Amino acid sequence: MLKGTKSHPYTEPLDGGWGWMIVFHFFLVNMLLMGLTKTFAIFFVVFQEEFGGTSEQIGWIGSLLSSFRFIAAPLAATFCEKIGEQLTSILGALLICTGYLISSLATSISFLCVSMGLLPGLGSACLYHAAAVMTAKYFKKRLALSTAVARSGMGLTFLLAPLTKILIDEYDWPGTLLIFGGISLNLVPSSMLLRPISIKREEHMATRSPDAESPLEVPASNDGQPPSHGNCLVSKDEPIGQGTAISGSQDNDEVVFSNKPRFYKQLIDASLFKNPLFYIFTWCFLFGQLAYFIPTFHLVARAKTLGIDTMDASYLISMAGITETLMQLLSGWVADQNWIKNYHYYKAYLVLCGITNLLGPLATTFPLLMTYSIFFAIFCGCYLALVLPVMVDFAGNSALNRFLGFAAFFAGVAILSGPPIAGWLHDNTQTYAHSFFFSGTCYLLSSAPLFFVPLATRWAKRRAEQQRTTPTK
Amino acid sequence: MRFSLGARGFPLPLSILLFVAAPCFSKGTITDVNFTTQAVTEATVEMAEENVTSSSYPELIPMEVTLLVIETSDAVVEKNVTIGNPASIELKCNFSTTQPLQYVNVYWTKGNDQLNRTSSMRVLENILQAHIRLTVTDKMHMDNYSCVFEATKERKGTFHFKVPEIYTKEKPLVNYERDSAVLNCNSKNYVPLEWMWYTSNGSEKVPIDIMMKNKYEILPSKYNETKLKIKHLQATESGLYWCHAIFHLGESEGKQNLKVLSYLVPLKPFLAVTAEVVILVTGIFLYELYSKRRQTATESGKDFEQVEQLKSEDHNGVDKKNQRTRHRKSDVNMN
Repeated sequence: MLKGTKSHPYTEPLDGGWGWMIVFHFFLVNMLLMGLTKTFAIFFVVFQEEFGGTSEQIGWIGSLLSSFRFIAAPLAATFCEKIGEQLTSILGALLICTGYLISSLATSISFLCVSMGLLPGLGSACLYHAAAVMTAKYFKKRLALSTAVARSGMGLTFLLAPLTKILIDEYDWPGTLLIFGGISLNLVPSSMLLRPISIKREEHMATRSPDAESPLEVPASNDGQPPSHGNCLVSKDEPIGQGTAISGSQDNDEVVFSNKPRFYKQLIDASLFKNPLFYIFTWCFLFGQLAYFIPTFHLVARAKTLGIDTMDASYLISMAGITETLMQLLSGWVADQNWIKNYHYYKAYLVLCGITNLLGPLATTFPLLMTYSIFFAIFCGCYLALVLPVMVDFAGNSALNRFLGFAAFFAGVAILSGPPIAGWLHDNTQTYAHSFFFSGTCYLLSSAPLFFVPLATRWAKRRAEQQRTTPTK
Repeated sequence: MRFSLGARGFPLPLSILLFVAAPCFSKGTITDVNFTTQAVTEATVEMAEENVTSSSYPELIPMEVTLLVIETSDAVVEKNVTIGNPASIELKCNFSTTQPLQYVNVYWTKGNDQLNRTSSMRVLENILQAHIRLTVTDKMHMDNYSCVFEATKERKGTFHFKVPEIYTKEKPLVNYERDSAVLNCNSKNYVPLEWMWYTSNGSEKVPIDIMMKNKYEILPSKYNETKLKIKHLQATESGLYWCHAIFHLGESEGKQNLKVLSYLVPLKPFLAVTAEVVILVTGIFLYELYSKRRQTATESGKDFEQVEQLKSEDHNGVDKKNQRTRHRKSDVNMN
């Protein structure tokens, strides 16, 4: 009978049931977002013919699109807290649709930068953030597996490229953009599947700030007790504001009644930045994203310089894609078995990725290159599946929203600098070997702080206990 | 108006340019090519315009093409020779045979007629090479030339002289109404004397009036390509467009299909997708409403049951009290 209030039908992480609908939505989100980025390469050529302009100028549109998806994450986090994940997701889908619709009327490259870079980027951030946070709320024991299943949507985007080519041949780029807007509108009904859920998460690794205890304990006692008729009647009469306090941040009901300065202070909440695990995670995330980019960008180019023709190179890429998807599922299942803590796996995969990349330049023939890309795909897939579960472990409770928001923001800055760094490396060294060295080093760098996690947790717990004991003095 | 390249020798800077540019053009059917007028600069054209007299012959480019004819093979031996400008071509046929070479009869044909000239011959080891030098300056010279060897069997190799091909975009060009379209024709390594555009009306070709500045415009481009810009497109202007390249030695054409769509065309799939989305949204909304109503119905049902239970408990209590008083009454009575 743990039904909670009318607006929040569920109160516990389901680990199944309606949760799979959430996974389905996340799957579609991943498919659309990866599709946006990949089809942009086809639009690139078309825009160059239509508007002239240098590759750099047109490349900006693509960079804006992929980096804004991360940089706008704090904004998406705020939306989630203010209006809930369902509405944020619908807003995100509508933003992407509007962006594409306006782009079909584009007259210049700067127009396209806004309408096809900023708007869809913002929409993607909202969509992804809402879906990730909801998945984290709905799944506890099977979080890694469900995330891996949802991420496998990224592997299916190879269907979108031929579709785009056919549409451009048939309707030219304005018509294609119009139809893409319609396709992205499909995410509105799937966003409606994000039924709100109110849960109280136990303390995991991070410590909560002391004032979090009081507002959460009162409703918690209602949910935690065995069902009784009296409680059911009472829970129906509870104000809805208190229900949202559980699912949102701890200060949410205060926000409803407080004045503005308090609200802005809450946005840039200090407790997040006092958490050492936040820094560790952001560092890993940042370097991981930076390192992931470069081999994927340069693999085909390196194959060409080694004399391998394009057909074989694209075969390389598709094999890598399939391996990555399969390994994500396997790694998710393994992580869920809970043999050891998730971040140990994460650490191991990152180190293995780094070593593979450092050995990458040794691959000079097609079979060796194939071996390298398969191994890279294996370790990469394994580590990608664990990003969200590790983040949930580090964030602990309701700070997940802001944690994800700011971590993604810093990662977005890294992504913005990724392609220029890669290009600079190539221009200066004239070979692609150095990109692999750079990527390998980044991976090893990103795994380094993870060795300090136990130390950091102990330090944070000690400090939290000190803070708790000082007010009583 | 026929342009003719200057009768004087090429000026020195141009010669250097041509010498440098020579290696770029050694592909296709032509071997050992030395001609480089493909990189014609404005200087040459200006020079040509000064000297337009019918008595000055154009400078002939030397070309050389070789074919291998084997006696034992039945396969058809032929080659396409693309000639962009008047040239002096040496055709060579290498005939390999086991027979003694003095018994082989060789002659050349142009089209179906035999050429009157006797073929010059050369013997290289056991290969008989027949060669002939032709001057190609006019359309009439662009024909199929064959070298025919009569040994035990008749074998021949054919050279097909062709004007350069025009390359266009193969797929149809799709544009929208009130937009402008740019049609492209490219003759690659060869520079024609003139480009002309036609639009086809059924099976007829109607030349395009370039003087209509508000409708058609030829965009500035390199000499080996032409760009036609059509403004304010209308749906009726869909169809095939032809670009003709006029060379010294003939004409070559390329075609481009233009499709002009109205904005309604892509709107239909878009509306179809939007309709599907609206249906899904309504469906999910109704489902949520239905499940919520069912949930509140069961909750209110359970509330009703609880109220009933409380009421019945009260009643039971009252009954027990009555029973006790009755008992007492009866006790009192007994006493």
